Order: sequence, then structure tokens, then C-alpha cells
Amino acid sequence: MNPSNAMIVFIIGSITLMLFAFTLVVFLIVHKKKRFQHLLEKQQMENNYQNQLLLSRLEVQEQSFKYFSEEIHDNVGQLLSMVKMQLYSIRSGSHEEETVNKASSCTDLLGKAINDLRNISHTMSSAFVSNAGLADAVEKDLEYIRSAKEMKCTLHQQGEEYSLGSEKELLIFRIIQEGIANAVKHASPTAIDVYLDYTPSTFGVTIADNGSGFVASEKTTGGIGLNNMHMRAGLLNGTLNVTSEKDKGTSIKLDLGIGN
Amino acid sequence: MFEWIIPKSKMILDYSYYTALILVIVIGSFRFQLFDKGIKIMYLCMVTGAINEILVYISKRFNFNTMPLYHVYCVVEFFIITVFFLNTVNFSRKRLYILLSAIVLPTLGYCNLVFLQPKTGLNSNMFILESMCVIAMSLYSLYTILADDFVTVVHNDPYFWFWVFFLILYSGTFFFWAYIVPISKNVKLMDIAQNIQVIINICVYVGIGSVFFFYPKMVKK
Repeated sequence: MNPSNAMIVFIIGSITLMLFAFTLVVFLIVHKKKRFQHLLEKQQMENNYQNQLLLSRLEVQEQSFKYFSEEIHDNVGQLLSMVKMQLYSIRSGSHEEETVNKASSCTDLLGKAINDLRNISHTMSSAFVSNAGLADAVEKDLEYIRSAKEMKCTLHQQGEEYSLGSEKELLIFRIIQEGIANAVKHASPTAIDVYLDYTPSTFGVTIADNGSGFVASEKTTGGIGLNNMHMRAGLLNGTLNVTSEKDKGTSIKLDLGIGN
Repeated sequence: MFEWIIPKSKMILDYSYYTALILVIVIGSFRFQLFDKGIKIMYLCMVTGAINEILVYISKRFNFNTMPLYHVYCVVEFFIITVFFLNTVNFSRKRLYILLSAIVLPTLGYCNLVFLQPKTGLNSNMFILESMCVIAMSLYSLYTILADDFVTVVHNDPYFWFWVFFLILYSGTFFFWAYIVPISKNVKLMDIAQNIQVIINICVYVGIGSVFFFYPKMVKK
């Protein structure tokens, strides 16, 4: 082969091979980029689907709460009020001191029971949270715990209160309720403190108790209550951190970015 | 006919080539602690190349024949590149392949030296074989990325870039080695072809140097 022909073959061959290499590399990068995009979209769709499922589940739960709340308020509450009235009439109609005393005692206990039931009914109702606002609803819940369990329950509020929207506030309220219920049920604390921290860009809730606490390694798989809290925090796009130490109490912290 | 492809001054090109190679070595030495095994092998390949260039430079200064150096360097470079690919692509019997390469490549180099191309002549056969094998290994490595659905981002993978650089470098040099014998009959054309090779080498070294430089920011596979 003469040098000029060889040179032409060399140049054309090299250019062709290099073009092939470039095309291959570009194709690979573009293909992977598209695949990445596709996976992202798939992930997004899966997340949306999961969120829809969670929302449906929570909606069913809220419907049950509403049903129980109405039943307590309209049915059991009314019945107990009637019993209370009957006891009043027994007390006022009786001349025996022992009967009067027992009727009075029963009336007082019944009054307390009616009051507690009304509180429970209120705190179960989603309408109550949206009407009263988050802070008042939490205060009401703590008031009920205070009267029912005789423990020191305090609400601390920092920053100027603002509305987070009724749906969000309901989810947050349920998280707080779950946290308090867990503390009361498992930790036997003498005090529970709830902190609502309002800042312009973030909102935080801390539920702290001085109960028995737990060692993190012993609770590797969270219970239903804790899972529900995490699930709700996920729906709020928030982060939920649980810290606990044996005999030193537990602290549950929820952080939300405002504008999520 | 082909003068427009290359700069007129060969010296500028040569010095650019040496500068690029030195820069790669210097950048690599700064990042060396961060490198994983595969990248360290790549760096070793660059160091070997630099040592060969220094020896070739010295030999030329003393008017020695540089061809024996290329006979040895080609086998060493081929072996290091093979080990690099074996380390960066998941092979099940990696050690066996490394051992086979360690036996087969020097044997082939020796056979070429004894039976085909003497030590005073150019060992283009070995370079052609090296080009074909490296192109095949690069294509296979890129295929593994393509076939792996779990790999979604490739531009942050240093191995990916090295495979690409090898593919481009050897795609650009394969035909040079294949046609070097007829081209070398014309000195002017040979100069042009050599300069094209130097330009391709400079581009690849700049790429390799960039990967070494940005290595800490890259996600390892």
C-alpha cells in the first residue's frame, strides 16, 4: 500500500472508530440519565400511592373517631346525664341521711365521669381541633389527662401561634395524643410537658415525660402507636425523633418546615 | 494534504504532551491517598508511561535505539491495563486471569521479538494486539454498566471515565499501528500521523488528570 492511501485509511478509520466510541459514550450517558429519570418518576408515583393509602387509612381512623365521639356525646353522655338527674331526684326525695349521702357521692362521681367523657368526646372529634385550634385542643387533652390520671401536664408555647391548616393541625394533634397516650400507658410518668415551638420558618413539637423510659436497642421495632406517629410525620413531610433513656424519661420531637 | 490537521510546530505539541503527562502524575500524587485499588492501578499505568517517556527522551539524547524500550513498555502497559480492567469490572476468577495475563503477555511479546519484529524494529504487532484487546475490554466494561439497571448515574463514576478514555485512546491509535509500516515510508506523512497521536494522547491525559483532580467529588461505584 502506498503511504498516501495508508494515511487516508488511517485517518478515516481512526475518525470512524472514535466517532463510534463517542456515540457509544453519549448513548450510554443519555440512556442512564433517562433511566434515572424514569426511576425517579416511578419512585415518586410509588410515594404518592403510599401517601394515598396512608391518607385513606387515616381517614377511616378519623371516621371511627368521629363515630365514637358522637356516640359518647349523644348517646352515652345523654344516658349518664339522665342517670344523674334520677340520682338528683332520689337525693331530693329521700329523707334518709345515708341514702342522701350515697346519692350525693354517686352524683359527684357521675358528674366527673360525664365531664371526662365529654373531654374524650371532644378530643376524639376532628371538628374540635379545627374549631379550637391546635394549642387549645392540646390544652384540653392535657386537662383531661390531668384530671383523669392526676399527673402534672403542662403546655409550653414559644413564638406567636399561627394556623398550620386544619388537616396538618389534626395530624399534629393526633401525634401529640399518641405520644401522651404512649407515655401514660407505658412509662408511668409524674409529669408530661408539651412544647409547641412556632418560628416563621419552622414548627416544632416536643412531648417530654419523666417516666421509666426505655433503652433504644430494646425497642428496635416500634409499636403500632410509634409507627402511626412516624406515618403521620411522613405525611407532614416532617421528621420525628424519639430519644429515651432508662429511668430518665422519653422525648418525642416533631419538626416541620413551614411551606412544605 | 494533511498539514491543516496539526500545528506547525512539533516542539509545541511534544512539550504539551510532556506537560499533560507530568500534570497527571502530579495531580495523581496529591490524590493518591484517596484512590481505591482500581484508580491506584490506573495511576501506576500513568507512572509507567511517564518513566518510559523519560527513558525514551534520555535514549534519544544519547542517540540510542529506543525501540527495545517500546518492546518492554508495551508488554508492561498491556499487563497493567489488563489488571486495571480486571479490578474495575466484576470478574469471578480475577486472580486466574491476572496470572494468565502475566504469563501470556510476556510470552507473546517475546515471540514477537524473536520471530516477527526484532528488538531494533518497531513492535507494531504487539501494539495492534494491545489496541484490539483494550478496545474489547473497554466495550465490555461499558456493556456491564449498560446492563446493570442499578447503575443510574455514570458521569460520577471514575472507572466509567477511564474506560471511556481507554476506548477513545485506543480507537484513535489502532489504525496508526495497523498502517504505521506503509505510512513510515513517507517521513512527512509519518510526522503528521505521529502528531495526530500526540494530540489524542494529550486530550486523554487531560481527561485522566481531570478525573484525578475531581476524584474526591466523584461517587465511587
